[in-house]
Amino acid sequence: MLFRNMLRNLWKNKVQFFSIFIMSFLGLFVFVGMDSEVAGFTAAEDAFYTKCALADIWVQGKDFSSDDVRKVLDIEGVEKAERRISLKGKAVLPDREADLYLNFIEGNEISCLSPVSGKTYMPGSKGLWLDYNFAEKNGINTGDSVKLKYEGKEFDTVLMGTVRHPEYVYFLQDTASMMPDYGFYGAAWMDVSEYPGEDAAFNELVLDVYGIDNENALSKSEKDIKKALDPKIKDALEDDSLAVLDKDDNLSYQTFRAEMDQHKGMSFMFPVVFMIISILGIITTMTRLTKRQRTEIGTLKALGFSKNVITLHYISYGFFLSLFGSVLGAVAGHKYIVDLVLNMMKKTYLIPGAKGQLTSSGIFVITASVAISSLVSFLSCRKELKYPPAETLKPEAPKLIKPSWFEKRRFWQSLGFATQWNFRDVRRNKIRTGMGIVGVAGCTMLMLTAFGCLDSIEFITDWMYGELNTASYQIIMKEDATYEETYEYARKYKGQLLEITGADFEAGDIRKSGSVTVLEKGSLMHFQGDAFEHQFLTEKGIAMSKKMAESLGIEKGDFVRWHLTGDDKWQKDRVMQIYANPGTQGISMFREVYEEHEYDFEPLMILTNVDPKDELKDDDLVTGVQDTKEMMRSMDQMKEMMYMMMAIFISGAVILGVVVLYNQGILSFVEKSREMATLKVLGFKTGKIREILQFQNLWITVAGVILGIPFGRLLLRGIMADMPESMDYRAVIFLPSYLYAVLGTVILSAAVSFFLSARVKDIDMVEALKGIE
Amino acid sequence: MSLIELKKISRSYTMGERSFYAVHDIDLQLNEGEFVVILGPSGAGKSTLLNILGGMDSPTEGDFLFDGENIAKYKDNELTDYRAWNVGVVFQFYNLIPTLTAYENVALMKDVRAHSSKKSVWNKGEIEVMRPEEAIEKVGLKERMHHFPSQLSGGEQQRISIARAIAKNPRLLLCDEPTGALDTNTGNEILKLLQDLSRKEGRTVVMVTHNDSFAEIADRVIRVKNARIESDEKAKPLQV
Repeated sequence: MLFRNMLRNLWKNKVQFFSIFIMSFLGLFVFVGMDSEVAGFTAAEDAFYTKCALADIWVQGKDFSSDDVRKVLDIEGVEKAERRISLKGKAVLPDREADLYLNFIEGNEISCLSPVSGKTYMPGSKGLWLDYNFAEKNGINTGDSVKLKYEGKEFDTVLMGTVRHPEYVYFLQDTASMMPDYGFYGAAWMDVSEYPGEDAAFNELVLDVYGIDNENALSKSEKDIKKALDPKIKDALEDDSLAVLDKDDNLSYQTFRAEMDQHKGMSFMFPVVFMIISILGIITTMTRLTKRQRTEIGTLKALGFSKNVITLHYISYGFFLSLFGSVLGAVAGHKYIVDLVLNMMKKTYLIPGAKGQLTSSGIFVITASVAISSLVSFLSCRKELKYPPAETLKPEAPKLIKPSWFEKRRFWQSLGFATQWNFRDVRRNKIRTGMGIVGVAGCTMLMLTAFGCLDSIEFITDWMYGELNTASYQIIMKEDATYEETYEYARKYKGQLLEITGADFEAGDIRKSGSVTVLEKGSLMHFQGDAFEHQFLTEKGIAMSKKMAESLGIEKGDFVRWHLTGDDKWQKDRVMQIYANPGTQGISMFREVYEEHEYDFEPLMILTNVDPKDELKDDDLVTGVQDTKEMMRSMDQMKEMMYMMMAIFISGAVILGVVVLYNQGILSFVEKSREMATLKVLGFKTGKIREILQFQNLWITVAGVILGIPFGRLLLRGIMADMPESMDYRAVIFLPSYLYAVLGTVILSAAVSFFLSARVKDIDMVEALKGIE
Repeated sequence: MSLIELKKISRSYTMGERSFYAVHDIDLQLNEGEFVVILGPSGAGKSTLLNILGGMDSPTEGDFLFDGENIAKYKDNELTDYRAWNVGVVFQFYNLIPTLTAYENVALMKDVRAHSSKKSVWNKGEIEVMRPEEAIEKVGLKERMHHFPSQLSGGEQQRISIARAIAKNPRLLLCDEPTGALDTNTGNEILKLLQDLSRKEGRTVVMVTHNDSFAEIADRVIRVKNARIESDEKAKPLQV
C-alpha cells in the first residue's frame, strides 16, 4: 500500500518529480552515450591496431641498409623490423594535383595494410594501393591507371586495391594544416620494387617490439621498454642523431587518444551538472513533501509502522526516480547518442567497425546517481521522521525568523512592496532559490560554452591564417632546389623564406618531437605571446612554442637540448622567448641564429601574397602552391563537429533551464498561492501580483547568469585544454556570444516565468483561503 | 489482572528554561472490555495520557504495564511493535492517507503487521489482521470502499478511520475526540459504533473528549484536570 501511496504522490507532484527524473535521465543519457562511444571506438582502435600490427617504434634519420635491419633485429626485445621509403608526392588528377603520402614498402607484417577493396598487397606485388577515402572521393577505381609525381619524376601505375592503414587513422595534409580533409589529399602504398629510379633511400625503419601491445594507451612499462631500446638502437646503428619514436610521438595515434580523453572528460561533466540540479530538486521536493505530510507520517507511526519502514518509503521516491531516470537515460544514450557521435567521429578518425560498447562505468554512474539520490532523499526527510508520533501528529511550530541586517536598515522602508516581499520569500526559501540560480547558471554556462566552441574555432582560423601567417599562398619547393634557386623565387614573388624541419627536444627526462622553424626576416610570418600580444622574434637565440615549453616543463631562460631529425649533433640553447602557435609546436629562430649553429639554411617554403598559382603550375622546381583559403577550408569539418556539439549543449541548456525554472516556479507558486489569494482579496490586481512573481524570477535569472558566465568560460577552457598536445587551442568567447547566451537564458526564463505567472488569474480566492483547514 | 496499569506516571516537557508536567503522578488501571471516557478541558493532559497509552509517547517517570509488560522504558522500535500488535487509533481529523482509497487505507494494516517484528513479545500467534472488506463492512461502508477520502463525507471518513483501527484486531482502541470534527447526528452514529465495538466485541476502548455529555455512554469516566486525575467513576452507561 505504501508503494501505491508513493506512486500516487509521484503523480500528484509530477512536475517536481519529473524534473528529478529528467535530470537523472539527461545525466546518464549523455554519459553513457559518450562513454559507450569512447569504449566502442577505443575497442575498435585496439582491434584495428592489433589486426594491422601497428608499429611500436619508428626510427628515422638515415638511409637504412638491409644490414641495419639485421643489426636492429639482433637487439634483445626487437621482434620484427621493416624498412620503408616515406615521401611526399602527388597524384596527377584530371582537374588538379593532389598531395599524396607515398610509401614504398618491403614487407607487410608491421603496420600492415588492411584491404577495403581490390587485391591484397603481398611483398613484391606490382601496382598501387590507395587509401579508400582518396580513391573514392576522386573516382579512382581498381584497375584504373594513376599518374604519380615525385621530385619531378612522373610515373604511371595501376590501382590494385584500396586500403586502410593503422598509421593513417588521422593524418593532415601538412604541418601547417589543422584539420583533416580526407580525399583532398591521401596516402598511397607500393612495393619498393615499384620505386621510380635508382636512388631509393630507405628513410624509415619500423619495429615490432616484445612487451608492447596495441591495446590501451602506452603503459609506463611499455614506455620504459622504448626508453631502454633507444640507446641500443643508436649504438647498433652507430648513429646518435637518429629519431627513435614511439606511438605517443605518432600524430595519428596521439590525436585519437587525446580526442578520446577529451570525450571521457566531457562525459563525466554532464552527470555532475545534472546531478547537482537533481540533488537540489530532491532536497526541495522531498523537504516540502515530508513537511506537508507531517501528519501522515505521524499517523503511519501511530498505526504501527516503524521508523525504518517510513524512512525507506520516503527514500524510495529518490531511489525509484533516479533508478528509472538513470537506466532509461543510459539505454537511450546508448541507442541514440553513440551513433550520433560515432558517425561524426568516423569522418575524422578512419577506424573500421566502431560500435557503441557499454562499460561498467555506466553501471557505476547509475549506482552513484541512485545512491546519492536516495541519500539526499533520506537527509531531506529525516527531520520529520526523528520525533515520536505524538510530536509528529501536532502541527509544526512556526519557525522563528529574525529580521535580517537589511531589514533593520533605514533604506528597507523605502523599498517597494514587491522588493520586500520577494526578499523575504527568497530568504525563507534558500534552497528553492538556490536550485533556481544553479539551474539558470547551468543554462547560461552550457549556452556560453556552445557559442564559445564555435568562436574558438573561428578564432584559431583567424589567428593562424589572419595574424600569425598573413601570406595568401605558400610555395613548396622541391627537395633538390638549391638555396639560390629558392631565393630567386622568393625575390620574384616578394616572399618570405621558411624552413621547417622535424626535431627532437629534451629537457631533463622528458623528450618530445616537434619541429624547428627557421625563417628569414620578412613581414608575412608573425609571432605573438601567450596573451596574443605582438612579439618580434628574438634575434639572439631560439624561441619556443608555449605548448612545447609546457610539455617539456620549460620556462623562458631555461635550457633545452635539441637536434634535427637525421643529424647527429645535439644542440643546447637557452630559450629566449616563448610564443604561442595553435598548430606547429617546437622552436623558431632566424636564419642567422640557425647558421650560428653551423647549419645551412635550406628553405623549401616561400610565403607570399602574390598569386603564383598559374605561373608555377608546371614549374620543375616547385612541388606545389598552397592557397591559404584551401587550408582554412579544412577547418570547416571541425566547425561541423562543433555545430553538433553546440546542438547538444544548447538542447541541454534549454531542457535544464525550462525544467528547473518551471519546477522552481511551481513550488514557489503552490507555496505562495495562499498569500497571493490574500493579496487578491485585499484588492491587488492580477497584473500586479504577476509582476511581483516575475520580479523574483528576474532576480534569480540575473544571479544565475552572473554565476553561469565564469563557469561557462571555465568549461570551455577545460574542453580546449583537452585538445592534443600538438595543438594550442584557446578558449575564446566573442562579445556577441556573451549576448546570445545571456539573451537566450533571459528569454527562456522570461517565457517560463510568463507562463507560470499566468496561473495567478486562475487562483480561486475562496478555495485558496479555505485550504488552511 | 488489569489490561493496563499505570503507576506514578508523569510526562514533563521543557520549554526554554521552564519545565512543566503535562501529566503528573497518574495511577490508573484499565480492564479488558471496558469503554472508558477521559474527560477534561483543553490542556488538562488527556491527549498526553492517550499518547502514552498508545505508545506514541513515553512517560518521563513511572511504570506503564500492559498485560504485565512494562513498556515505560521501551525503545523506539519496541514501542512500534507495541503499537503494531496492540493499539488501534481513531483521530479527530481521521488522518486517512489522501492518496489511498478507503479500502487501501484499511489494507495498510496488513503492511503494518507484515513489517512488524515477528519475534515481538506481543506476537502470540492468535491475532490476525481482519480482511479490509470485513472491517469496512463492520462500519457499514462496503459500497464506498473504493472511494478516495476526498470523495467521502466527514462521518464516512471517520468510519473508515475506525475500520482501519479495528482491522488489526487491537486489544486497545484509542479515540482522540473522534466526533470533534463532525456534526451532532454523525457524531452520535460514530459513538454508537464505538459503543457497539466495545459491548458486542468486548474491545477495550479509551476515548478522549472535552464533551461532558459523552460521559453517559461510558462504562467508566475519568476526569483529568491540571495534569492529574481528578475523579475516576464507574458509570451506568446509556445506550446511544
